[in-house]
Amino acid sequence: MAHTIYDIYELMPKKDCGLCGNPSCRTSARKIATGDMSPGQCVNLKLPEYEKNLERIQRILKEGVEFGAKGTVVIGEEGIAYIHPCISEAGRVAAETKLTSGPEGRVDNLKYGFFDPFMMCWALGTSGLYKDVRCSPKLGVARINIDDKTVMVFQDGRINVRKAKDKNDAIQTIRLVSRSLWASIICSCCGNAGVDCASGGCEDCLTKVCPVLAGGPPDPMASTKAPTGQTTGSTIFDRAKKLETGKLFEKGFQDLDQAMDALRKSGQELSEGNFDSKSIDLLTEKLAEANNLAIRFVVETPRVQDATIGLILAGVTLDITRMSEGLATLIHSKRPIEKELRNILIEAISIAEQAYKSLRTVNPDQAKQITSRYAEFRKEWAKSFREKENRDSLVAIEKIATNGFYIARLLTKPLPT
Amino acid sequence: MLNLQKIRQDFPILNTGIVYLDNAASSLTPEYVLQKMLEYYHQYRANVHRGIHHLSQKASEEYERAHTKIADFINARSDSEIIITKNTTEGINLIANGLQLKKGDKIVTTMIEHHSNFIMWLRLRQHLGVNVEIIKPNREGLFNLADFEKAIDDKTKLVAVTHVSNVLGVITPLEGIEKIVHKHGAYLLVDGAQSVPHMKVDVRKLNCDFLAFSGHKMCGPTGSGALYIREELLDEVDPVYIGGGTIENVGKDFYKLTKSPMKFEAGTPPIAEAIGLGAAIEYLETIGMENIAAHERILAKKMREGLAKIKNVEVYGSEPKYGIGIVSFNVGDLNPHDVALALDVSSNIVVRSGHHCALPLMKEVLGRKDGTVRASAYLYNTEEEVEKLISIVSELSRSLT
Repeated sequence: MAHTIYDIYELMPKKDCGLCGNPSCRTSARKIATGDMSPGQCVNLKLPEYEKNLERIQRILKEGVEFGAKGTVVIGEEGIAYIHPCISEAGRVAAETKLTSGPEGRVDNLKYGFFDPFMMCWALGTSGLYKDVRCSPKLGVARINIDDKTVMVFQDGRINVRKAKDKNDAIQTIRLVSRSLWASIICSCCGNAGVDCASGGCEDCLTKVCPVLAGGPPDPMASTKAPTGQTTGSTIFDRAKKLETGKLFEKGFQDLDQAMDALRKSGQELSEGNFDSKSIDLLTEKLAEANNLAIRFVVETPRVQDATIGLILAGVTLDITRMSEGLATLIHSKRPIEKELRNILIEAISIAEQAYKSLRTVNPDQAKQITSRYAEFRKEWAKSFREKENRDSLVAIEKIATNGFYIARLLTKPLPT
Repeated sequence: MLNLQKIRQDFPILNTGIVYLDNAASSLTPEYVLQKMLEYYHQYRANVHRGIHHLSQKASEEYERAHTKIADFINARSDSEIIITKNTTEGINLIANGLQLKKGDKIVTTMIEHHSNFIMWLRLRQHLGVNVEIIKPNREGLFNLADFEKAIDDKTKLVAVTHVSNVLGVITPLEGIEKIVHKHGAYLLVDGAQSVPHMKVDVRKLNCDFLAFSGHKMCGPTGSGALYIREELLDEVDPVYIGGGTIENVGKDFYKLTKSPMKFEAGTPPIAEAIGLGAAIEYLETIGMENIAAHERILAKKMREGLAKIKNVEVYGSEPKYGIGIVSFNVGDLNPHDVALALDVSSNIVVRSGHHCALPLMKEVLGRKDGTVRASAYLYNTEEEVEKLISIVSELSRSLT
């Protein structure tokens, strides 16, 4: 199945526009591969330029599971499966783990796989925690060199350590890697990676606590206990302040403040036709910093329930990243933005900006207003999408507003405590 | 050319999409073999040899027929030369413990042996004081016959060599070795675990004295195997186990052992397994050993050449003309177990990793103490599967090393 999902993803428009109801094409690819979504639900796949891709996806589905692909993953016991002395390295220890406890406690069928291979590579590569990471999203395998230890991560939830100093070192290493990969654990209910749920992009997680966020990363030494308490996204800043790692969280959001500022500036410049790449460079830099801090916060915050809010920081970073991708599409299209489109762009940027502000100032009324503004925006947008030819630009603009809308939903999102 | 589509239908496990390339460890079992074994359990399950009733008669007939099939398969002179064992290891141990070796005798073996044709010789050195000389091949696994000339002398009682290396897939030059062995009046024991399943093995052509092989590597059930002992030597070898079924007569203070093969097959033998092994031989012969060998040569060449072309991949062993469908390799500095797991988890390709029960080879010849990744093909594997292996190893090498 891993290959089928990868092959389908490679054929997706990869716009992460959210128009199908999923926050990313990764989720859509998973759902299409497992039959939970029809490829026709993707607005972009139906456009003439993706006709061949759609045909190929339909062919993959018709042929069934790709030659040599694996079916659903049947999971075994959680925890460390095997710990033994290294045969080739005297005095060193190797440990093999299969993280299977899963976000919902014990589940029998991880139909989408355990780690999202793309987010797995992203989380390991962008956290700044590891100097030497190599990762293949196609195979869903990563290799991390930490000091003289080698850690291998497999998308089915295995984390293997070789040449650890001793048993404790092996366990601590697995724990570290497991925590840093939390954002990429796939929820079996909705098919989203943890960070997608934390970005506000998952519909299912708006009425109940997201199981991935609640369960935490499986710990090789302890069975995962679901948190008992529940709160909402509106408490995250207060909660962070009480933590020793709170500074990382606050610094991360300060980076995002600057990123949003740069985004607004770029959008403004673009609509006025005098674009300067400095703003977009700053935007990229600040997003990378915020992401780095988010993963560090998740790893360094001792209690799992507290560490969860770090995923919200990662999620908002992802939202703004998608907005910046939307902007980049507009910049690279090299077509002057016509007047009507310009108005839509200004409104999209404004929605994104106000949504972010509502979260930062914990203003639920403002967030509510965004929701209705976004509904209006979508109506106007849909009209243009039907009439205009410049659909790439329209999708890029929509992406900015949609991710703003996701952020606006975070204040009321239920969170574990 | 094999009818792969038809052959693959005989192995339902392949329908799961698995790419099974661990044949050197164990092959898969075709439905025909399973049916023959089930037939025994469903229709005539009884003990052999000692019953007069019709079920026991039928069971005895089928059990004996298995001996005949095995004898014909390797061109033995008579059924009495074939002893049913549970695997190659048991056969070799029978010779090691039954040949009545003594202090001062010399045993010659090689550095590429599986532990199952190695550590019993070291134990005999420890227990009896026999001399053991171990011949080393070059890094490709190829031997120089002059080394055998040097090592084998008139004190040499036994030369124990494998026919095909289970790690490198390299074929041992048995023809030359046999002449040297017999010139000095020694016996030649051949470990046929990796050859008998994959090529036509003829004990008369090989002129070997002992040949041991396993059923589970040749489409037969686990717990089945055979040992060939040249007719003239049947009295030279003492059975390791004696008891029920092995006697001609027993009195208050004496016993007389019966003839081979019964004297070696003490107690109730693995009847269903022997029948299964017989059925596996029928199955392989219907397809034709020459055809199977030709098919594997194509796969081996493709696999070896394809893997060798990948950057950072080191392939062991020699060029395809010296070997069969076993290819050992490493991907950069990745641990072989990690490579095997990556192939399994990402692509449902199953291969073996580690030292493959051949630590002396790993340490002394290849210098890879972590071992290797080993892909081994059989009659049901396809060129597409080999291409898939190559493409995934290529991606692994590109992204992780």
